[in-house]
Amino acid sequence: MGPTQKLRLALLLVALSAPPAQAGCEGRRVFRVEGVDRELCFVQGSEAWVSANCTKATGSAACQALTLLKSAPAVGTLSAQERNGGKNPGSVLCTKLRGTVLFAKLANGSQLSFCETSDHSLIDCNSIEQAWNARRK
Amino acid sequence: MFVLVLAILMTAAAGAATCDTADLNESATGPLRQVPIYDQDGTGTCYAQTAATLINFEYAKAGRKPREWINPIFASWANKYEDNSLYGADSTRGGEASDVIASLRKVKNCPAYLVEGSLTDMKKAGHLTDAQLVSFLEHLYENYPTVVHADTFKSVLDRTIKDEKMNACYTRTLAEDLKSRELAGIAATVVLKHLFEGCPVTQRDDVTVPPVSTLGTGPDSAVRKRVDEALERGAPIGISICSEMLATPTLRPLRWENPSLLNRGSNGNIKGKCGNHAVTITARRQLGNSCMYLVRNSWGASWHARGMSCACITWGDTYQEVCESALMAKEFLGCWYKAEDLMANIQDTTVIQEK
Repeated sequence: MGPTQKLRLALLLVALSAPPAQAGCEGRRVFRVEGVDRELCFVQGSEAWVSANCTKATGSAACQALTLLKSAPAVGTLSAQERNGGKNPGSVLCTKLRGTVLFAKLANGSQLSFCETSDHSLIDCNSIEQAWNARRK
Repeated sequence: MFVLVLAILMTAAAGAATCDTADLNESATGPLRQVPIYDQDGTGTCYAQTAATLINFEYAKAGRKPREWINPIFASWANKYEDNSLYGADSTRGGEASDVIASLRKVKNCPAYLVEGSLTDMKKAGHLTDAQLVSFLEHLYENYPTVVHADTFKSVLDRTIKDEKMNACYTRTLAEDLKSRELAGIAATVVLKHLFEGCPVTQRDDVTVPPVSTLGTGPDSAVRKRVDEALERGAPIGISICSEMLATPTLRPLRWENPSLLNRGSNGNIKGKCGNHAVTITARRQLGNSCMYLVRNSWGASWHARGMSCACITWGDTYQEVCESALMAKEFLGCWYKAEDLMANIQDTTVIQEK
């Protein structure tokens, strides 16, 4: 095995052994979602707020909410009906990916939408939209 | 030669536009900072969200309390059912912000706290937000066949639950509620009519904002002038654009290829049909070498286009015109778009005039 191959192998091993970038919790906040306090973590790589328990485990599919970032691009183009009237694409994608949209409200009344998956983990709808947008880039 | 002269003249005209800072988000006590960032969810009510933003900005400026403000769902319903249609529209999807304001003037506003009260029972039954309730009602109605049998409601409900991937348990509770009110199988706008009947004319308020001016045509420089004039006197501007440009600012509708064309909503370099969307311009700033405009959306306070400059309020309640990090953002207030990208996309503008 030549030095280049060794280097490649080493990089591959590092890549395989390292936890996925999206699994790290950069900061925590409690959001009042549909009247219930939910602790969320900010994942820097994907700029997403996800349920805190998603980031405790280090597997790539630590919770279903995180998997939506990978499955969103596969949804493809939204139909005219799905965009009609400027519908929030994050909400539309959440529903298409079998999630349920939940709302949080800030003190000034501003609304934030989150997508809840069947394991009750949450992810903010905007990060799903951004992952979906990335399919074109 | 003529083309060259024209190009020089156009460049000079474009250069004449100022880019001094005019930012309605800057003042922590200013009216815009009191107006929430709405999230229209899966409804097609962007035009009503924009209309509510424009009117509520005026209400905040006049010191009116949020409980008296415009609820966007009521605004869309007032436009689509009470005013515009002889028989009542089937859906609240798609419309014009200026039309909504005109409708609200005619039918008067049901204050936000009363609208909220009317919607509360149904929302609780279905565990839904305002927007989700409307989306559910519209899909339920759409799924009704032409010929209705005794067991139609059940099959329509099953299909809607499947289509909308809703929680079956909560949705069935909501469906029972609809049936008990004899509102099953009726257009969403009619269901809302029954809900808003608790808000008779005596409880409604006159919408006393100054007149609205709209402009749907003209070259980019004229559109920009109109936007600049409004911002410089401290007013937000409702605009219609292709929704696709929010993520890809270089997209252009057909009009871009020929500025004399009136239709800004058709194709151009966009693949497929442009998705018309109503949003609000709330600021102008020079950022780097570009004159930029801040676009406030109705996709919630977490909406920001990745890789672009967006404004936010931090968790420490500081305004950052360019948010340093999404982690620091409690609330995104919109994203910045270059003048040339935005103006080429604007299909129409809606501005509430000065008193």
